[in-house]
Amino acid sequence: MSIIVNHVSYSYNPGTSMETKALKDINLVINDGEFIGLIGHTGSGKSTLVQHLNGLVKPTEGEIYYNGQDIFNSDLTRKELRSKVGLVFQYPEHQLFEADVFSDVCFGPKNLGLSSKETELRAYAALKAVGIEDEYFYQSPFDLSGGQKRRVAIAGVLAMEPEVLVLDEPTAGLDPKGRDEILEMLSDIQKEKNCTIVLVSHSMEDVADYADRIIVMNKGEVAYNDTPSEVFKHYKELEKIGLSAPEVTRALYQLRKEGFDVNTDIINVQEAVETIGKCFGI
Amino acid sequence: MGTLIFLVSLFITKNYIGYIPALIFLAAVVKISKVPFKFIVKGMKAIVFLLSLSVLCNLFLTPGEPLVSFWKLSISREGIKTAVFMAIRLTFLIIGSSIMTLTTTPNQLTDGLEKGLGFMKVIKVPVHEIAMMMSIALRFIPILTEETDKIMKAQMARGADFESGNIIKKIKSLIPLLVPLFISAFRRANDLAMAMEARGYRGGDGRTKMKPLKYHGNDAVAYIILLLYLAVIIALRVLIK
Repeated sequence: MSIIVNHVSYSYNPGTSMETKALKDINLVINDGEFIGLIGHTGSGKSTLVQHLNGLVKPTEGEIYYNGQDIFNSDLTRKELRSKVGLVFQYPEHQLFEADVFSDVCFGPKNLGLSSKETELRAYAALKAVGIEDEYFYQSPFDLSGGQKRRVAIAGVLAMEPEVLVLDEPTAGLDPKGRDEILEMLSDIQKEKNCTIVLVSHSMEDVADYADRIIVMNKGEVAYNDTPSEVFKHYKELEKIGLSAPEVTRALYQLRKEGFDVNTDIINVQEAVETIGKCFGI
Repeated sequence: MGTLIFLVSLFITKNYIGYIPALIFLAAVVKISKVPFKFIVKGMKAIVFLLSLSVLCNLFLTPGEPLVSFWKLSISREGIKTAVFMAIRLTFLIIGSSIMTLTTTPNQLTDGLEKGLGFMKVIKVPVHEIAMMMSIALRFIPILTEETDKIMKAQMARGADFESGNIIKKIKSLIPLLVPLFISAFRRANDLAMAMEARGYRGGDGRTKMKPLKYHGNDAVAYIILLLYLAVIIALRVLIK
């Protein structure tokens, strides 16, 4: 039960003078129940890659397998795949269109051909999961605040009850509080439903606390694919490709350089505070 | 403006001889513009359908002495004549206007429009504002295309189906695409208006340009050639019946 990306390459406008290679020979395995952070600089191909995962984009070369089935060459219909792999786009609030919140969330499950009762049950559960209260259910989605709109949009995908949830920069343009709420919510959803989450971001801080594994993309290739603390060991190389390790990691490495005996694998701010405190005898 | 005159000239000509100067003129313009010939041919592909449709219509529907006839259809001598005539005219039209869009940036185009229609300011037509609106509209086309693509993908990820079903179902399936698209278009328009206001935009009066249009010797020559060409076309029309 997993997604395997096998030697996938993708070019925009192939065969013309404007051909650009967005992905070059990507090999990845995404296991069940994992929380993966997919990180890369703008234009590194991360958004293109996630659109492959549910078959919105067909790879120029290579195959993608979902639970052992090639997603473009098997009995697996596109609709089935999209109900299993839910993709939340960047700025998902721009896709809201219904007159009220509840029917917008119903759109996804209704497209799956579920009964209206099942649809409504799922929509209700999804809205509860993202923390939208009953009083907002019959308001226009356009009257909500930015953070609420985004949560409604995420609920729209959640209501399809995907086994793999892929989110493309769900925290873009949110304030720190909204950002933390979204990340916390995702982590809760994962624990509760035991689904796989792929979180795309360009900020290490976003994913450091939650991800089991971090995949770093650079210019259409996978640069690193490891646990957060292992990836952050390459903080100097990360800076070269336009990314920065979390501030905590950088601070700890700097301390070690200055001769303090600190554990540089720490990524949690709270633990780091304690460690640094110890160094200075506080 | 040159293009416009060229297009008008095509409609002035009523016979084949009139196309000879048009052909020479067009060939010269293509040569000068340095647009690769392949590019122009590619542009023609898009209108092949329209072209063949008009040819067929002319071929069969022009009354005259029938040359070949089968069933209720007949091809007359006049039909062939008009069909070929129309095909040449259409081809020239398309090549002429595509040369203009290939060589002129939207900014130059609206600048030219503003200048060309400048005389209408006298009768209180807001020429600058119209030109501004045009350039904004042109600027927004690629943005909206991109936006459409994005929203389409997002709705497909939510299981929307834009391809199958009968026509009513298809139109209904466009609602989830069009509503967000309109909203984002309005939002963008609003933002743009706000940004322009914030920078003190207040219409055309007394406004200077970053790159003002200046006439060079070349432009004068171009005008003369254009006028000569027009004269030849009109002369041909009058002289040859």
